[in-house]
Amino acid sequence: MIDFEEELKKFEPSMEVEEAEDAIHHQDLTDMTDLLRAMMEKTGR
Amino acid sequence: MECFMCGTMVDGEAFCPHCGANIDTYRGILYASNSLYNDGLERAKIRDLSGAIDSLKRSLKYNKYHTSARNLLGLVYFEIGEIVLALREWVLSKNLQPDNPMADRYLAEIQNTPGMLEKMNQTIKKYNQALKYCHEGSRDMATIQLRKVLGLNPKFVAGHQLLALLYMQDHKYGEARKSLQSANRIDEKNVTTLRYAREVRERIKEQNKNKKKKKKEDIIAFQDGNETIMMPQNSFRDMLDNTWNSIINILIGIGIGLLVCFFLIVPTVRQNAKREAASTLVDANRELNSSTSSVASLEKQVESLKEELKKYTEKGDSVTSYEKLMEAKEAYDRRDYEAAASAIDVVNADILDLRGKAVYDEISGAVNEQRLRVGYDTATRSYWAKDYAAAIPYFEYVLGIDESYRDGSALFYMAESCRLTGDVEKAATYYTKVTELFPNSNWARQSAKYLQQPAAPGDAGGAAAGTVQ
Repeated sequence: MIDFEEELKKFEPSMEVEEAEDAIHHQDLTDMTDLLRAMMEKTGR
Repeated sequence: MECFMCGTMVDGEAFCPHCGANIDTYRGILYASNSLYNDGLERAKIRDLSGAIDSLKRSLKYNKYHTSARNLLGLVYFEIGEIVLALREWVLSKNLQPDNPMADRYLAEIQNTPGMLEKMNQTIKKYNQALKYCHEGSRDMATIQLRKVLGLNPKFVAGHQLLALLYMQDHKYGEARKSLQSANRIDEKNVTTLRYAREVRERIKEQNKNKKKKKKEDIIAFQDGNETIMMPQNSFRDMLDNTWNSIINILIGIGIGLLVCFFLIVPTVRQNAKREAASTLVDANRELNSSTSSVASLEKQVESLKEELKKYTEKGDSVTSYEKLMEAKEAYDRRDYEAAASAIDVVNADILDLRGKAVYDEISGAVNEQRLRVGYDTATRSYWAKDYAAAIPYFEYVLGIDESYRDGSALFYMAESCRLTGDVEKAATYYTKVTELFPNSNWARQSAKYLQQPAAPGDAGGAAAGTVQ
């Protein structure tokens, strides 16, 4: 049985065009390669 | 390939010969990223868009520089109606990989389509508004808004899902199913869509079960001796659906219609006809009365016109009047007053010119004078012969032409004649006229005396105090 209120919480406002620039700037672009690089730098390769 | 640490070209080595970085691990990362991209591509091909998004996002977590994965992710976002997310991915893709013809093409396509971005943005705003309505409990408003959104952007999966959820909450499972089918046509493996669809199916099944149960309850059972008889308890609608019953119902309907016609409509029509006939009769009588009165008035008018005509016909016309005037003039010149009088009576003075009028007046005056004189002489002769009754008409004739003839003597002798014939009232009238018209005359004094002491009839001698002129 679906709970309407609970389901409703899962729907989030869609991103508007005005917010696109912020979204691009604040996008977390860290990938596994970055992590590996960081790890290697930390351990001194 | 290049070393991820120093950028040195490496081939099959496990470690970078220049910086000693673990190339095997890096190679594994790239391999995982590629695998996930391939998975995402396969899923996108079979329209499992939500699965594709998941795989592509994971691929980019391994390798953010996987341009194809990012471009494809943008395309999938665009397909499910998330235009801003699509733009974000294409812009990032372009920034991370400047030589990127695919991202260039997608961005150019959006920019070169007039109004597209604005339309998409409006759609998103409306969707967000609808979501706000949902949270505020205005489901009707939200439904209306979402219909608008899907009218503008039919590929907006989240919109279809939210609309389906609203329909489900309002127990409109049929409409919810339609909405979910639309969402499913865009993204076939979307978990939310599938979950809602299953719920809707179950609800519809339950509804159908309830209907069947209700139908079963319509069957009635009763004991007939040792046997239990079961028969459907037909509703009124079922009864109407039955062919024979329908025919019977139609016949009954026709019968009722005919009865209504005979007992209600026909008497009303007859009554109306009678009422109309009566009112027509009344109108006709009224018209008859008015025409009768108008006939009477017209007859009266005709009579008066005849009278008027008679006056004119007795008088001569222009030619006749002049002829008679000449005749009267000739008779007057030879002193034949009788002939002159008879001719002048026919003349119509109104149509004569000035000269004719002057001649007419002259002859008429002379003829009248002659008439007065003859009349007066005749009257006085009768009076002195004591034939008062004979004198009265002549005096009346004279007084009709000239009331003051002979300075009141005609009036006085008229009064005397009346008194002596016993008509005291008429005599008093004439005596009074004498006193009024000729107050200083001898006739007036005698009249006053008679008015004070009226003489007895036959007292002629005393009255003849004056002299007849």
